[in-house]
Amino acid sequence: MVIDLAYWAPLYPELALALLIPVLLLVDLAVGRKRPLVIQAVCLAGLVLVGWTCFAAADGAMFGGAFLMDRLARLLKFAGVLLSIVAFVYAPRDLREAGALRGEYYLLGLFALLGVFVTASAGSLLTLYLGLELLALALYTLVALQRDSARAAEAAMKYFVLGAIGSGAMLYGMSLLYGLSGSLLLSETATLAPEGGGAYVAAALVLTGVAFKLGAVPFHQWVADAYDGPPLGVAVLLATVPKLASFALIVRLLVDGISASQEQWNLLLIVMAVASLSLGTIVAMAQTQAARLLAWAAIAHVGFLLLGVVAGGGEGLSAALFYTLVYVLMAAGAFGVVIALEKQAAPLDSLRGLYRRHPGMAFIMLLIMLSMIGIPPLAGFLAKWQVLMVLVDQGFTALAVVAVIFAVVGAYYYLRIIRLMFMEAPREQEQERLKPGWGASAMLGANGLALVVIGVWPNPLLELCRAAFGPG
Amino acid sequence: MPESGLLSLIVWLPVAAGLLIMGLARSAAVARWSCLAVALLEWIPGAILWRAFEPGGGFQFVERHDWIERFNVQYYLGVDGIALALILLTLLLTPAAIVAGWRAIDRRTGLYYGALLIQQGLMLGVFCALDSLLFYVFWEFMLAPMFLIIGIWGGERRIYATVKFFLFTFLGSVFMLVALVYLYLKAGSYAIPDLHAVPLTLAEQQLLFFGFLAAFAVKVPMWPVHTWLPDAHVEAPTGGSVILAAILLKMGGFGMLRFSLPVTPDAAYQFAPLIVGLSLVAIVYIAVVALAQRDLKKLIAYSSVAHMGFVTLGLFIPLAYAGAGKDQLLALGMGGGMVQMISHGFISAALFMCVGVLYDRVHTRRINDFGGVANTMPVFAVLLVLFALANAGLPGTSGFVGEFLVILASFRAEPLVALGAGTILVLGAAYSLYMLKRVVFGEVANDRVAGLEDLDARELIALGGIGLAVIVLGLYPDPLVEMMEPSLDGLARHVLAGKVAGW
Repeated sequence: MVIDLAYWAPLYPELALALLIPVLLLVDLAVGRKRPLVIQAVCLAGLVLVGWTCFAAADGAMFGGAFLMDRLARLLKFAGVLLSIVAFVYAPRDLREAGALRGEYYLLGLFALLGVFVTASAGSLLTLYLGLELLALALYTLVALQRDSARAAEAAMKYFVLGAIGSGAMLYGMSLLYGLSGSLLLSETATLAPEGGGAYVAAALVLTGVAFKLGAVPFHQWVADAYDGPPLGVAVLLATVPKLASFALIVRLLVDGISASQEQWNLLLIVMAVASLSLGTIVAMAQTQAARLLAWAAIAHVGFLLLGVVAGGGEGLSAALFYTLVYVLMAAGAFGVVIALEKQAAPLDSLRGLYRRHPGMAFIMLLIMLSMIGIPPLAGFLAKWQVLMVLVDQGFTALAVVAVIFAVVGAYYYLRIIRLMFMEAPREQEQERLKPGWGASAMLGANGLALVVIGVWPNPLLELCRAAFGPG
Repeated sequence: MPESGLLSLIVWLPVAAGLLIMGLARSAAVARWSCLAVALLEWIPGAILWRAFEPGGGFQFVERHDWIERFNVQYYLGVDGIALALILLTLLLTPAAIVAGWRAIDRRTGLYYGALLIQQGLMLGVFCALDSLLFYVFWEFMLAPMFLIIGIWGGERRIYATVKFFLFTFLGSVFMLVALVYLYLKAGSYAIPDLHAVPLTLAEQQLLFFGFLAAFAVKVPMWPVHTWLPDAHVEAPTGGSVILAAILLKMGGFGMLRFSLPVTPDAAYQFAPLIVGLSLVAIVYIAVVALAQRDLKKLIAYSSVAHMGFVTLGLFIPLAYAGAGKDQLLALGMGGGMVQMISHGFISAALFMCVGVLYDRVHTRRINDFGGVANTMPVFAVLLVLFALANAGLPGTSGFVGEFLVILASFRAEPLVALGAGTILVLGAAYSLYMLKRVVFGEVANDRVAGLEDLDARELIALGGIGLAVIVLGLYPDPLVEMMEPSLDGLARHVLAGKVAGW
């Protein structure tokens, strides 16, 4: 039998990634523990190829519509590859310190990425669940990577138990949805399912699962521990790549799958969004660990992003997509800087006097923080601004006002970081100049620059986000 | 007129130079001199702009390019008489702000002078922007360099002061952002002329008016949201204080002229009594507060709040007048407010520099630590007396012109308000003279005052130059008034035409 390559064209990225994983496994076996650089190099080179296949792949549906390659999937996959590269460049420094720099890290990271790929392309309930669980299982293991650390074990345990509950709820909702509509295809469940009580219960359960995966209030309890427990090198992956899958989940499941009961779940979504925004912002103010602060800030950002989904429609979703992409870029950069501080479980105080220890890095962190606050013309501002526009456009002006007020409250803790870096002297034991290494330095520079470039010249990314939900 | 790129040059030259100085300046001398050189170099395009500007020609030197196409945001610059006056003020005073830190700023000089220049570029951008989102970009990003300037080189409570400054202004501005977004959805454009033209119902205008007011009232600052200002001023380094008082505060008044009055004219008419009331509180109550201050910088800060109350009074009092010739009265009041802003820019900058001169020498700002300064610093004393009296509205100085015009407009609109506003002439004189008595005159109070050295050449040039400007503007304000008059007349007619019939 001749394999028809063109037939498999929509599946190229998944195939390439699935090929890279065993190759990496073999390389790991061959060069062993002594040469982590080789593994990293192979992994990064492979990812570049995978990134290329995202463009080479053709649009289309496969397996009877269970797998969709469209513009949204392509954008999310490419973003996932980019973020994995960024994370894999930042992470090794921290993992080596933690004694967790093994080939498994890259392997699990790639499995997680494969999960993101499958989720992004899901056309049926089954594919969606498959992708999410692949992602989740890889992440649980990653969090527990540092076997001898009690904190990591605790974090992994919490993450696993809560994540399993979330998955369970979602699976239950999915099964109800299937029972009601008689179809697994997301394009059919919305129209075939009858209106009424059953559909609402299904929607509520599905929404619960989505909230778990996103880390939205009231299903946010795992977030702070999962960010803070494992080594920072794991956290940087955890904080960025899965967010893309969560966004895909929102679009595929909420918007496509249960759009019929939108009025009902939109109210729930508003409550969740405002609760995440307020609780995340307020609790973040009290944090003293960098990773925990970023975790609570992430919850607040998720709230803001959900407001874009609340506004709905192509405009609202593309605003939320833009927000997601910009947010993960900012989060990756923030973790990159914290990793470069060379502190296990970095307290915020280790940012003290960063300007003296490494002015360039302090400036990049300054840009990231200003972007997170939403100061124009940085990328973070454009993300918030678009969400505000769709909210006001859809008549949710009051929500827009609530959102900007919490943006101001949130500015407080980002300002605290700027203050520590520029206005305080370094701690006694941390006087020496930091040497982040050239790879991480270059990546940090690119990361900071990207926020400025997207902010000053956003047209290409805006166009991509619009096209992802555009007609045709 | 073909596109010249002159405004872009004026805005971006300091920003680019500031980034270079931040990144490259290795020694303090290089940073200082290159910063001063750039600020002086800016005078050349500034002079060209001034000479080529034609009063009454609408928005000029327009540059218009697509920026964010999907939301119809444009890179759209242009100036009218109002903006030009403030641009010239900024250009003239930035070198003074640079000179003010010459001695006091001795660490991280590259960062300081770079931030100062970037700050200048952003402020100029605010005055030049004709696209409201571009306006917002400049307006908001300006917080970042000021946050660093106060927070790094400030006094003891600098961190409290700078965070307060940032959060207060940020909170005000985000409401403006929501208002701008709403207007965009109405008008389909962020261009300011389009926003002036977009029809709005009274109910919409009322909400939008308060959205804008939140941003501008904090910046001006109006009572009761002025509390960030004394803290920021007291803790800021002298250069930062100069920028804050002389230029940053003017953005609030400028914003009212650009947005509040023309975009929501009917709401402005409706709420004019509220603004007038708040302005009177600022003028009377804050002036009394200034009288009680023991810290020189705090005294000037409170005096700034009182004088900016005069600006908002001038902008809104004519709206409360019901008789004929209202448009002339409105132009008169707005003109008075503008002259007051320019004049206060010079005077407050000079006063903060005077405090800086004293602080650099004896490292105290407490009024009680001084006395008899005139004996050891005669030249300085002459200038300080000049500025303090100009601040009190002495005829022949620029301080008199603005206050006179505003009181005149108030008198015609509502004599009682004029009576209240007139108290500033008394109270201003009271706190100024009381301060002079305790600081400048009398016997030499202590050894530190006895050891004071008079102004050096650098300080003399800066303060003398500002003194000259204060007197010239006081004796011959015509060029300034003529530059702004046609723009203000047009604005007054637009405001009074309103957007809702029946008012």
